[in-house]
Amino acid sequence: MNLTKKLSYYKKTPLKKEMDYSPSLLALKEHYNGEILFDNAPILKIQKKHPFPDFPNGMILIDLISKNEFTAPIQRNKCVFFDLETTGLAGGAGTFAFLIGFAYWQEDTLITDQYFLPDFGREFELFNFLQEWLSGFEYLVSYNGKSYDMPLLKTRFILNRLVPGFIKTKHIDLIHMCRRIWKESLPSCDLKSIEKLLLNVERSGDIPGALIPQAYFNFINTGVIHEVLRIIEHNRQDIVSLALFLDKLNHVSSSPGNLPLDAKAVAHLAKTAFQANNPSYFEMVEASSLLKSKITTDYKYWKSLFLKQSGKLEAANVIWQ
Amino acid sequence: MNLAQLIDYLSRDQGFQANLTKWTEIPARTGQYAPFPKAMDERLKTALKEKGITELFTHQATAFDLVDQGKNIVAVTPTASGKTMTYNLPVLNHLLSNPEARALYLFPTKALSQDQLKEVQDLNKRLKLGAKTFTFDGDTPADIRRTIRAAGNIVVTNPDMLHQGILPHHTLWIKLFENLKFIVLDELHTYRGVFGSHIANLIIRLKRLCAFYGSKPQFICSSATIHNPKELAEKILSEEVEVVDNNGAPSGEKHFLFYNPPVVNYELGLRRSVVSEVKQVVRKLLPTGAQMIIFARSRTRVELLVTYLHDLAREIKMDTSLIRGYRGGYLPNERRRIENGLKDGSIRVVVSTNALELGIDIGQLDVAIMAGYPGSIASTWQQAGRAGRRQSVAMTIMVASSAPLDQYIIGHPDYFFGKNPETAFVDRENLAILMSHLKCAAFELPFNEDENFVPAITTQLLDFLVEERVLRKAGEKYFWMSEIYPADEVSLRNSTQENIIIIDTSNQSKVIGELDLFAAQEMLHTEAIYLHNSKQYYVDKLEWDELKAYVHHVDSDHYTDAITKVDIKVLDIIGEEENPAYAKYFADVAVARTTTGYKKIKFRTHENIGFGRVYLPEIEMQTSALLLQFSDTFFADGYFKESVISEGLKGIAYTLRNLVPLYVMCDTSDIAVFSMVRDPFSKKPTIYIYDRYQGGIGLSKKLFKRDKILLKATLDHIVQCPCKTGCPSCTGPTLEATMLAKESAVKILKLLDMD
Ligand SMILES: [Zn+2]
Repeated sequence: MNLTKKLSYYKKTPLKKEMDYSPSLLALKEHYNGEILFDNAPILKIQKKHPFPDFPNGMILIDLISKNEFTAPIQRNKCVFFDLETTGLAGGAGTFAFLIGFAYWQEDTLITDQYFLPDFGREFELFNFLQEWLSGFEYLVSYNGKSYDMPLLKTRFILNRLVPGFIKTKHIDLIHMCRRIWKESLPSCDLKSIEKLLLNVERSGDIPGALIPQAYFNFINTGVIHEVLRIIEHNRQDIVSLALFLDKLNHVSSSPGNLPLDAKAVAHLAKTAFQANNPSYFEMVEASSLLKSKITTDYKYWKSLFLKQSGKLEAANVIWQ
Repeated sequence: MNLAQLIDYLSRDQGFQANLTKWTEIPARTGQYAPFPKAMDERLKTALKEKGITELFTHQATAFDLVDQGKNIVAVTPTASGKTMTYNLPVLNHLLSNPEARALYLFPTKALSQDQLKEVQDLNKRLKLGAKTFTFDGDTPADIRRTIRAAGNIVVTNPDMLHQGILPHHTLWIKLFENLKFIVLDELHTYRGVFGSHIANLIIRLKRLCAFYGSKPQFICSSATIHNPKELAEKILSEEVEVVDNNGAPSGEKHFLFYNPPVVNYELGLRRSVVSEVKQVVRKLLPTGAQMIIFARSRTRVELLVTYLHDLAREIKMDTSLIRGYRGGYLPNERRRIENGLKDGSIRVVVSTNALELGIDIGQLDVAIMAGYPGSIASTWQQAGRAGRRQSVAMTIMVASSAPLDQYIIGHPDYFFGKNPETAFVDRENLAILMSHLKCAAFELPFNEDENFVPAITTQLLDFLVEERVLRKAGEKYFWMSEIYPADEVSLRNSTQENIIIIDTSNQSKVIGELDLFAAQEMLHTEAIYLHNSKQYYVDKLEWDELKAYVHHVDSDHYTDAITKVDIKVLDIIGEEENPAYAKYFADVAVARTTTGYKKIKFRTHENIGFGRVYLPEIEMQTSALLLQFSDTFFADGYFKESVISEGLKGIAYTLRNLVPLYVMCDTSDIAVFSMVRDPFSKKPTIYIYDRYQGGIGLSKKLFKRDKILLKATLDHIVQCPCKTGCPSCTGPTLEATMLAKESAVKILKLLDMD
């Protein structure tokens, strides 16, 4: 062993570790009043509480619009919503998730826990902790997580020689349900469009996803936190919207008639009801206030099929007259 | 008349004989057998017996035993010698007692990898092993990919797919990596030069991931006959490898004929064209009903020959559909049809590029004809191996072109039939290639400080990448810190060097080819006459920055000869050796070349009829070189005026470059040779041989030890050439200036005293 190495060991072992966190990490902690975890590989935990008094706790039912992937009612507080910010979009073993955001309900309060990794090589202890923590939930909820976030997280666990036990947890990927209902209503089925059209959320100063990897590298290279703040906000908005969107889907599932849906979405719901052969749901869709003013050809089509299916041939024919 | 009768007839045909430089009869060989190895599972023995196999060929048994002892092997075997059994038997044997084990089969091309599963699947069925065997390539559908990752016992793929599709996503392949027992590398000799350097790096990446998952696979390789299979395998695998070369497969009687088309113009060294000579040979052969394969060196040649042979078929009232072409660019289905047609005999003649040289299954034919020397002895034997059934007589005819290499081979049959002197070289030191794989490796798995990706310099390279902010050092590890997916940035096949695209404006702006920048300056500068497939084109404009050359077809009475300024700067001498005649250096050099003008030379008379200027940027390349620097006393004889030395050295350089592939497997385009009467530094006459690849690729390094043998071949070749004052087949086209190139070159080479 050469002297430099010996000295580095000398420096490491005997002294009690001082809290020599990097200034940028401390600045972030300060800014968010966050908490620094794991002394050996420090990361930042940012917790925030979001009260939603209009969103009382309850059961979620998405059997119809998930095409029976989830038939049983889902306890909302057993869901954990998650989203990653990563160093690249191509995927593969070299892509790193530097920000892992979770959201979960406690009564009518949505709590967000975001874990920010200020450098590489700090995953192990966090993952160990998350492994345990996640086992307290029954459902993982994501947006496109089945194709992107989940495999990526799994890869990161494997690279840290950990067995990703959470991949066995039930996973609700909301993108599929969104596409099923709104693919013709939205310019693109991304979370931003959903916020704008369905959740009345307007983001300001949001950092475009494509710039996120470089922004993180800039932070590592310079320690300037400005862009990281934007990424953390972006990620938090994502997981909050995810949670709200699941509630929205629940409403679509239980009382579609009361929702301000557009004509195309209503037609897709009619199709869903027809495919599930569910008369009571069809009635609810039919009750949609929108149908009084605007009935699309698509809707008529699915309605006639539905009536035929129910043996009401006469009524089905009338639709086209 | 059958083939045996024709052979008898040809042996008495004086006109035909006049063009032969060699007729060798290789007698039939009986098989050498060995009993089933002791370590072989009884179930496998039973399955083989069911197939009618009661013993193994000696090389198959040796391979099995060595693999059983845990050794890496490279089996060196000729075509059609039961090569696939050398790897399938140990793999299946292991799977019988370890059903979870995995094997990765790598074939150099996609086409090959799709053809190799039949034997395994057959044995698999007989063994009721249930081993899952899959081909994994770009065409594999997504849902099947999942199955392969989870359950494929034998995964057959190619290096490109491993590089871009498997290694960067290794976490999806845990089952494979954790249980990987064997890696099969077929056609190892094709992994040489630039491609070989990529593969050697790729294998290190693969091994690194195996180590991460706790497996240590054994390698089973196969190679055509080359001079240094062990060295090549050990370079590529970075591990010890045993050679298996006790071929025990039987073969029938074979006739090997060297055919040199007659000279039509001594002065120009021109011989009758290969294509028309092949047509004449085929005309003699067709009535025997022999099934034939003809190898041509390019796709266009294939098409040309097919056209000629269809004409011939019509002349003799033969169904033209019995004669087919086969080359890259044909659709897979069509290829399969041709392969099957050859097997069932419904196709009698196939004209192919070297696409059919490697292991694609077309059965054995009666006659193989090479329209031009395939470029290496190893390739020639592989192509010849397509002809030869075990029970009947077969024939191979090599028809030479006027190219120097062809003429050397045809004039030196002993060189060809002796022990193959061709060495395959692989060099992992090319910095650009090494770096790109180091990046890929860092992407795949963070580097530890003490890792040894490449001996001695790993840390230095990693630290450099940290400075470049491609990697991030955190703690004791180096992490990938970039959005880039590095495997997409490297292709294993094409060099990173840029090419100029050649566009024919007289034919709907069709792209007719491409040339690297160095060659393009000399051959595609504005106002050049460019020769392509024996057609002349005038270059209207070379758009250097856009990498495009616009040409149109012309019939010109002259050609152009570029005037190129070459500067070589020696950066560092790495090795040196003093001889009485010349000092030999192996060095890192910077080569700068610019074409500054051109001469117009009239065809036939070689009269200089004008010149022009060309304005092109200098191109620089840092590479490695072998320098032969003549001593001051060497040219003491009054004969050697400076201009005479200059011409002689130029002639030697021209011949040398063309003969390099005799000893080091490469294309002539991989190497450049040029000479100076006064080297700017030493002021001595010098010949430079350098790798035409940025960073060097190990060619001239390999030649450092083989200079004498190469210079001797050069002398032999020039002396034997029937021309008087030098020709394109030996010292190069003679220009109008003087006629001393050949004479002077011979004098210099004789003075070297190479015995
Ligand atoms: Zn000659």
